[in-house]
Amino acid sequence: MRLKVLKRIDWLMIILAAVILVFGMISISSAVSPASSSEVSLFELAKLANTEYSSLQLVYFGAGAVIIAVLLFIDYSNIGEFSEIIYWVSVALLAAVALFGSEINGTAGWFKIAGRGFQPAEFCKIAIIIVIAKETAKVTQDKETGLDTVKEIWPVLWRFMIPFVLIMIQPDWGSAFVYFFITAGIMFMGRLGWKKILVFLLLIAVIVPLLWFFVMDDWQKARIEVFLYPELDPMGNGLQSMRARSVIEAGGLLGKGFFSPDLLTQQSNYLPEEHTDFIFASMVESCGFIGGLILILLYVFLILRIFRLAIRAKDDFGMYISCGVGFMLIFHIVENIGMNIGLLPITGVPLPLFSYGGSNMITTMAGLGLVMGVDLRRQSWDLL
Amino acid sequence: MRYKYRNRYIIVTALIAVTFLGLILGLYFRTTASADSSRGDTNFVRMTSKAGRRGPILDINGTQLAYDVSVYNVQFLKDVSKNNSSDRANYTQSIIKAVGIIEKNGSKTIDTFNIVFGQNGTFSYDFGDISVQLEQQRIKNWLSNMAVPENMTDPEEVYYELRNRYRIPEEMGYDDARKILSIWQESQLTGMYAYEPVTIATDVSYETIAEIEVMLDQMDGISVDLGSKRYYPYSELAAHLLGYTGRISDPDQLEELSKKGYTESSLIGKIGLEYSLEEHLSGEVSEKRGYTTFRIDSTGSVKDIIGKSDPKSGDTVVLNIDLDLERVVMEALENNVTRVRAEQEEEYNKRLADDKLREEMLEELGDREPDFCNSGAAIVVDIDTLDVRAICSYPSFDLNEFVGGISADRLREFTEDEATPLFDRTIQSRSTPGSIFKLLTAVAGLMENEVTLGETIDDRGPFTKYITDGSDAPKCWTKYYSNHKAQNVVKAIKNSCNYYFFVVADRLKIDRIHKWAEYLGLTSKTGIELPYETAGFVGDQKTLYDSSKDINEQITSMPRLVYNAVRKRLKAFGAERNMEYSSDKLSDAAEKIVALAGTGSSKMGDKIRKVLQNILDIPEAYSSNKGWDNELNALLLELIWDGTDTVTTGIGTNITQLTPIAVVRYLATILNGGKLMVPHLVNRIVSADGKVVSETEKEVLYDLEIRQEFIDAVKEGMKEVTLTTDGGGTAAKVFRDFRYLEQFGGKSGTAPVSNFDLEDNGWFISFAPYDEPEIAIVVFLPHGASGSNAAYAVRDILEYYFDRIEDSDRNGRPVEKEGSMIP
Repeated sequence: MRLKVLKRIDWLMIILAAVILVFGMISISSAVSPASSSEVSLFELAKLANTEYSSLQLVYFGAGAVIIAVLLFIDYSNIGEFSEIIYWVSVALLAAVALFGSEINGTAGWFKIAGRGFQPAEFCKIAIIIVIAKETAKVTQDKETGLDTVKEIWPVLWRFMIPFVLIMIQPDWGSAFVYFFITAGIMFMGRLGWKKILVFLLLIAVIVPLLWFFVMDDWQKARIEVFLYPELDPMGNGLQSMRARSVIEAGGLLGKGFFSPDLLTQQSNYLPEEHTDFIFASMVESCGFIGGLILILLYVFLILRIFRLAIRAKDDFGMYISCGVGFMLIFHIVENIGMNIGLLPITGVPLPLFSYGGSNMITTMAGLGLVMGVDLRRQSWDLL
Repeated sequence: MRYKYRNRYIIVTALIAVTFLGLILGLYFRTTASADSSRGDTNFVRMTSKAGRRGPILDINGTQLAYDVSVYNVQFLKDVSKNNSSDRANYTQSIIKAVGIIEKNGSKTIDTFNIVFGQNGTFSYDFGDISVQLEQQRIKNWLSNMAVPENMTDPEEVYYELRNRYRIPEEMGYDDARKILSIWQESQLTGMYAYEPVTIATDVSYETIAEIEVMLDQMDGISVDLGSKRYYPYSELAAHLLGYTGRISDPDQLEELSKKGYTESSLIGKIGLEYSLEEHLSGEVSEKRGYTTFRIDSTGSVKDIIGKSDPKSGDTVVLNIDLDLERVVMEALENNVTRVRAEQEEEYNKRLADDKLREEMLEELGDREPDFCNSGAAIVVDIDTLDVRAICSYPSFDLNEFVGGISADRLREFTEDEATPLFDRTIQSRSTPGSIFKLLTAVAGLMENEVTLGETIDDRGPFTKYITDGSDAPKCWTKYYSNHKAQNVVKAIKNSCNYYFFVVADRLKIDRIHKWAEYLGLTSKTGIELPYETAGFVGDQKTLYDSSKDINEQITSMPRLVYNAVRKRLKAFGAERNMEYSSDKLSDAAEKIVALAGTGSSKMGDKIRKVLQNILDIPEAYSSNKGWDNELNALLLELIWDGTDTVTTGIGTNITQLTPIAVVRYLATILNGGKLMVPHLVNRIVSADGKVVSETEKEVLYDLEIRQEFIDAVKEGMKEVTLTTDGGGTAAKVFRDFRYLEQFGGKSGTAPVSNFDLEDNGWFISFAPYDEPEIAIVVFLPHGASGSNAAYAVRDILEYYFDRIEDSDRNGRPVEKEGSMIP
């Protein structure tokens, strides 16, 4: 019996995640290691390389693997039973952090626990996936029609709005957009009517200018302005963006190779956040376009796999959960790589499984755990 | 069952495909952009900034006392994208060539490399004189910023690693490699601002520039830049008040200032007005910098300039100082010091030749060499506004030596010079005032109705009122006290009769004397626009010994001396009883005994005995028997303020110490009727485009409303001081045959600082003209032997002052120069 379960686990997902992780670990290590003055042997390189962050990254991955294992044992329908509790606990956490949290990089969304930063907005992404999936499934389960009337949409919508507003207050626009994207994605899969979609798009077109003029802080505006015109501020905000672009350009088609003494990132402070938000740029400098292409393709495989598993789930709730995780990852990946290559404004959104950081690693792994759990319990479909 | 989602699934999958394809295409274009330069240009926008010139400092007549002159600098800028080993080798070759040209023409390149090769043949880090902890921190930061491989900390290893990294030719020795490494170090440490060039040599000669320009295409990264340096045309004149500039040496300060726009190569005012007016003078702040924004392609060459703004100069500061007067004051002071010193040496040799006098003198001196006059301070202020017209500390130094950094050897010469030329005596030295303090006693006595203008007091020799134990009573300086019969205020000032002021001080008591000293600004800083001003103090119980404060926090060193004496006695008592007390115990007991001086009683015997018994186990009967209690009690009396202390304070001796700037303000305040003001060096500050930024206004803190008749009495007494009539005033000799007698007043002050009379401090204060006083003068000669000795400089200053008035009278026109001394 145990063996059967093991066989049914979608190992492909784990393998893809592990490959991305290892790729990331090498990149991180290369980005933070000091310049080696001349040609050095592999052995010397191993001695000089800074492995502090990449080892920690491995530890986070291990912790994530444990969470996957735990999630595999729990039937997601049981988790769905607690949807309301999960929701309100998350809202309480977000409210608390908005009130008492400490500030890092201009965002107040942090709790300090045992000296390490802890960001509720990160973990609550999983909660919002479950809650939105549950509410949408309540409407669409065993029905041929999707979300259509206001009465059907409203429970989903307000459950999204409360945490969204709380996160905007922090203000952490990156995470807020993740929430929006997850909700919109699940609603889209819930076959929200095209007319309604049109109405929502129009609403957004009205609200965004209002936000710009009445809600956004100067530093947020500055980031977007500087994204559009980096030469506005070549000393401050634009610097990150410009530096990231120069680093990527320096990579060329094939890159300079990991740990190369010619890497720009080895000049002290050349590229800020070289091992976290801007790890993609660092990696491209080392591995060139080819490296970037490989990583993007790995992500595409992972995401398509998630949607593939989603569509064969046994019920609507399971499918929405998997889709939600898929949308979350899409947003992270596109926004992070987009800002690295200068196509999107800079937000502090990490690159799943690749950039250094514990919170997002855990969230991503938990998400993958949910998807695998949904897939593990598709007996009804399997037996047919 | 999943069929109902088929459409949406297909749409989502398609969207995913499109989005990621977009990412891939974006990445492709970005990574291949450098091959296609038309695409690369938008991404390399750089900006550099250039500081404005430092604003000039002018005297009241518009003469420039400090200003920036143009100089050529040589710079080095490494392109951030050229980072491989052959690029570095190429740059190093450029640097070697540039250093060669610069040195051949007699200039020096920067020398900042933090690893030094000592004489003992070992390498070590050098971050200046800082604490070990701080140095550890700096080394750590430095290693990380220099991107030295982790775990490599040994300076020798790092040195060779860096030599290797920058491809410095192997045959090059340490001294030459150090120059190259200094330049590389500065380039590496600019970090975030890697597009800012590093200045490698400043103020280089014309020949250097010519030679470098010719070879520019062979020297990658080297460029020539027009910069500026501070110049002080009058070098030693007004040096202390102008001050000089220097690099920002403290990293914390640099971090703080960099928010305002300063950079690592910025200069800031270090002392004097350059320091206190930094925010106005500096052209380094962001608002005054000029910015150039330009595009470069990925090869690093500038494609086009997008925007450019010119730097703005710092504000112009106009002083109240009159340079001509300043020069006269400086020369007068210098001549005065030279003259007094020569007289002192003559007198000393004369006494050495005389058997009796020699013996007497050697007894006073002990083994040491006498301290004769070698320095002085002089200040001239406007009585009505407290504008400072001249302020001078002698000896001075050449400010230009400090421009661009002074060598450690030269600095040591300055600091080891006995006459301490860097020390500003006008605001930082404080000393016993002697008889110039008597004006305060007179004014306070009159204002508090303790003495009237008509009352006369006879000098009766020693003032014995508070002498109970047969010790020497304070008395007047005159040998025959019958000379000072029937002194009124005017005569008492003329003769500087101590006895008169003993009596007045005794009537006032110390609290009111101290109150008037506070009123007249003698116990606080004056607030002049110069850093590091010292506050003087005037004696009273709290100043002598404040029992509520720790022994080390007292104003004078007297409590510490008494404490040491008590401790020494206690140790001796122990030795006599064959006991050895622990250091803590001795300190504890001595502290408790000294604290008894704060109880208000002068008989502390029983309390002393108790401390001896409780802490040192000396039975009360025993210490009483031995007379130890009385012995210690006598020591403690030094710390208890008594009537004798009050009366000697009244004549300006005892523990009182004043600064020259406070003294001249005190005189001006009495003469202007009691308006205490803040002395001002700065007349106005004008921005580079001619707008008045600030204008200094007369700053009256309060008005004591001293009655005119009292002021007249003080003035008359001060006039008499300089006249020979009726036996002659104390400074009559100096002013004999002076052309402008009767048109001014003065007061001498002679303050003993040791047993040896030739070492006494000399003060002379003066005002002019007599009828409507306009200026107040102070001259202070440390070890000037006597107050009248300091009158020579005053005489020269007054002569210049009156000559100028006469000149303008004769020419029948006022002098045009604004704010000149002509009324």
